[in-house]
Order: sequence, then C-alpha cells, then structure tokens
Amino acid sequence: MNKGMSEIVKTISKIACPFILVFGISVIFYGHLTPGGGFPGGVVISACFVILLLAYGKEKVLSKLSLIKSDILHDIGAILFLSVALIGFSGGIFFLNVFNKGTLFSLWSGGNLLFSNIAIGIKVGTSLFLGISLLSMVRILYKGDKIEFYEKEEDIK
Amino acid sequence: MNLIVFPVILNLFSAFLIALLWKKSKIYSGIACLCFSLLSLISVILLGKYVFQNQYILYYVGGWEIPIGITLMVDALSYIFLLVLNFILPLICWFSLTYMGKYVKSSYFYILFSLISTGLNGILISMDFFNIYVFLEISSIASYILVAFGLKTEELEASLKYTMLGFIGSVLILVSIGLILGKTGTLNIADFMNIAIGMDRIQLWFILGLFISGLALKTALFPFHFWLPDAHSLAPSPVSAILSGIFIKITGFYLLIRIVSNIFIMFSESKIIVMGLGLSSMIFGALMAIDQKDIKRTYAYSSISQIGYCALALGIGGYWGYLGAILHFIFHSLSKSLLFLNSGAIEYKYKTTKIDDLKGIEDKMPYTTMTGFVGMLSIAGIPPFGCFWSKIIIIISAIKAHYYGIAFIAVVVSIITLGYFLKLLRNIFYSKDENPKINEVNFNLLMPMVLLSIIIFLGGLIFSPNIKIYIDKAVSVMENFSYAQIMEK
Repeated sequence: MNKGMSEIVKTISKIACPFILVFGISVIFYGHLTPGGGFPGGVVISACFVILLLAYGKEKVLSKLSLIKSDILHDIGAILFLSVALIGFSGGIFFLNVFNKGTLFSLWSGGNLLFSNIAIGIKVGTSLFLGISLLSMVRILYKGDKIEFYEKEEDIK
Repeated sequence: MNLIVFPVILNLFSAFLIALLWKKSKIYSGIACLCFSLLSLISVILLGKYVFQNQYILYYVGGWEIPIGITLMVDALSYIFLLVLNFILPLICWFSLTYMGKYVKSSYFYILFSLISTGLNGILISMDFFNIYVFLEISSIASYILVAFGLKTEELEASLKYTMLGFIGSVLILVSIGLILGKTGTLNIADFMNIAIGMDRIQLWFILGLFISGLALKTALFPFHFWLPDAHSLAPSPVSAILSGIFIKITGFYLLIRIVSNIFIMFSESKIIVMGLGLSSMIFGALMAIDQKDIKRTYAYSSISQIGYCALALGIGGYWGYLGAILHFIFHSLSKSLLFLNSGAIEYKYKTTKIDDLKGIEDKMPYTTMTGFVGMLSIAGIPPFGCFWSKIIIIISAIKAHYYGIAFIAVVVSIITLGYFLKLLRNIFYSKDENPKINEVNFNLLMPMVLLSIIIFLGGLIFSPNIKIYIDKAVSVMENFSYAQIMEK
C-alpha cells in the first residue's frame, strides 16, 4: 500500500525540505544579527521534519531522525546551553560573555550568543519534533480505570 | 558571590543529566537527584554567611547592570525560604527512592522533581518580574505532570483541573506583568519601584488586583481553593509533600509577601484584602477537613486552613504579624511535608488511604505512628512542637492590633484543627485491628520522617534568642525594606 499523501505533495515536500532545513539553520546562525534566533530557527527545523512526517508517513522521517536520537539531542541541547552559561564562570560571572567579540556585523561578532543560539536551536527543534510526532503516532485508550498505549493503528481493537 | 546561582544551576543540570544518562535506571536516577539536591543544600548553607553580614546581596547575570540585565537578589527573607526549601527537598527525594519504586518510569519523577526544585529556587533568587514568571511556570508545569504521574483516570482528571486553574492564575500574573512593562517600560523590580511612585493610583490598583488574584489562585486561598484538595490528595505522596509543603507557599505566599509588603507598599489597603482571604480560607479549610473519608484529603484541606493562618498574619502586619507568618511558614512546611510522607508510608504498606480501611497502625508501624503523631500535634498547635509558637504569635499579633474577634476565631479554628487530627489519630493509629501481615516500613522511608519530626520537636524547644536574631532580620525585611533602596546606592 502506498503510504503517506499523494505524489504531488511528496514531490513538493522533497524539493522544499532541504531549503527549509538550510533556512532554519541560517536563522539560528545569524540570530544575533537578523530577526530570529535559536527558538524560531529551531521551530523551522522541526517544521521541516514535520512536513516529511505528514507527506511520507512515519517510517521515512524516523529513518532520518529517530525518536531516541532526538530524545538524546534535546537533552544535549539543554546541557549545551547551560554549559555556555557556565563558561562565564571563567571570567568570574555566570553568563559572562568571555569570548572575543570579533568584527561588527560578521558571523563571529556576538561571542557566546552564537553558541547559545545553536544550543537553543537543537533543543527546540528536536523537542518540538518529538512532541508533534508522539502526539501523531501514539494512540491512548481508556479501558475502565486503565490506560493503554498503542503505536500502530492496527493494534487497536 | 557566585554561590547565589548554584541552587538553580545544580537542579537544572541534574534534570537534564538524568534525562540524558540515567533515564533507564531507577536507582542511579534517584541517587543522582539526591546528590544534586544535597549539593544545592550545601551551597545555600554556604551562602548564609554573606546574606546575614550584609542586608542583601545582588548578582548581575552576565555583568549587566540594573535596568538592562537580569538581576538576582537574596535577602534574609528569601534566604529563610531557600533554606527551608532546600532542607525539605533532599528528604523528600530520599523518601522517594523506595516509594517511587512501584511506578514503572520512576526516573521521570526525578527529572520533574529537579525541574520543580529549579523553579522554586529560581523564584526565590530573582528580582525581576518576568524572571519570576518564567520560574513560576517551570515549577508549575512540572507539578501539573507530577500530579498525573500515576496515570489513573481520577489523577488525570485532577491534573487537568489543576492545569486549567493554574494556567488561569499564571495568565492573571502575566497580564499584570505585561501592564507593568507597558506602563513603566521596565521589568526590574527595583527600577519599577522608582518609576511607580509617580504613577496613576487606579492603574496601579488594577495591576495589584490582578497580581493578588493570580497569587491567591496559586496559594489556594478560600474562593480560589477548589483545585487543591483533588490535586494534592491524588498525586503520589512525595509529590503531595512538595506541593502542599512548599510549592504553594513559595509560588503563592512568598510572592504575596513580596507584593504586599515590599513592592506595592503604597497600598496599605491590600493587606486588608489578604487578611480577609486568609480568614475565610482558615475557617473554610478547617470546617471541610472534619468530615473527609481520605487521610490525604484531610491533610489537603488542612493545608488550605493553615495557609489561611499565614495570609492572616501577613494581613495583620506589624512586627508580631510578620514574625508569625514566617514562623508558621517554616513549621507548617516541615509538618505538612512530614504528614504527607507519613501518609505515603501508610499507603506503601496498606495500598490505600481510605480512613475506613485503616485500623490499628500503632501496633504494626510504631515509628510511623510516632512521626505522624508529631506532625499532627504540631499542626494542631500543641506546646512542645513548632507550630504552637507560630500560632500563638499570630494570635498575639491579632490582639496587639486590636482585632479581638479575629484572635478568637484563630483560637477556635486551632481547636477544630486539633479535633480533626485527634479523630484521625484515634481512628487509624490507636485502634484495634488483627491484621498480622503488615510490619514497619524500611529505613529509606522511615529516616526522612524521623529527621523531620526531630527538627519539628527541637524547633519548638530551642526557639531561643540565638535563632530569633536571624528570623528578626527576615521580619525587618518585611517591615522596612523597599526595593527603591537598591537604586539609591
């Protein structure tokens, strides 16, 4: 059986997804110079995976970014953000921007802002994807007082 | 002064470290959570020396000065809250090592537990309206999930009700913070205090009204209390101990103290509102607690009643009122955490908390009975235990402020409290039952309760001038401190 949506949607999303991903990454990386930043960029990245999920079904998207991998990545994102803040202690103050600020308006001009944007991007992108995919994949049924979880539509009787 | 951020960092780090490394292991996740909460207790204890030497300590995150950056502040008042919070949390974590073993995914409990600790510590150290809101939401959202941790139908229902009302409270607070930002252009409390003096009084009243109603929802004062009995009685017992013992007091009562006595000091009328809320919830909680069928529900209604005492003392004001409010916070936090842990220990053995099914616990679990006895008599206000001092000081404060009727009501409510606890003691602890299978709970469940009851007992006995010096500093913060002083320096 052909899974997912029609051929038109699949083709369009196949073409669009790489661009959406690159756009998300650029929003993250230039967050301190242009509108955007870690959070919007992360949302755009997760939107890329959600489009794949809608167009192709879950097998295709889970082969690219499995739930376990995104679960680990979003913990790593949070710890990365905390460690960016902890690096400030080397200058004596929490969150102190200890890196050199580079030249104005270039990519390397914000010190630790770049790293914190990347960390937030990883965290938001993966956890939003995780949330949406869990909501769309898992079915919950009440049987009297008990709750049962199903991962496949066919298992529900 | 980097110590000031450590309670938040350690708990946040613990949450994500457990999520990354020990999600599959029940034992390691619990031990890691316990270690991190002990470390944060140590950092709070080390902080104490600096707080009591100076009047307050400020910390500029990232080195940015007041109107621009995030500012953290700890003074004697928030230090006492920090100390009580970080003292109770490791004990509850220790208790959970055994208790949460019956749940399938108990490592998730420790992740959420660490997030709650992060939020509560964060509220206490921040001096910024929006920061307070963010930490309030971190701890609230973690608590919504923890209430539904058992995944039974009624727990989910309680959690849903709690979530909805919690969000309404948060939104009321958020709207008033938005109005503050719109009217003054700043979120820093010290900066706001300077600008607010010249503002229109009606606008400030509106902001204050939203704030007080949002916080009353979070504190579960009388007209806003109805989510509390379900949420606190159906959650797993360690969670109830966190929620009833410290959570409602920090997300609600601590902020109410700050709002009423430090931030909106130009409105002395707001104290009367807080007093009325406190008085009504004191009476209502005590009356509702009498005829409950479940121990944890009785304790939950008792929490409403006792938080009413705190709010009443805050509303009466003056030296004695503030002293009573702080002391009642300290001892009621300890006693109510003890009682909920105690009900958890009973539930662990009997698999139920219905009063009708529990009989003769004294024969089988003597130490558990002893700790429950201490907790109940303490909250009822029997002399050697902690809450006796706080209650008598609240009554003295009412008499000093010439509220004789309120003093009388406080005494009557205290007697009702003693009444429903004596009923519990007689029915479930000291009654006859021939069920030989049940024996005393193990070391991990028992020791936190024993430690808490020793502290409550000693706290009542050694309430001496040596300790009172520190509490007096917190009282003077409530009486005289205004954030505007910070900007003058």
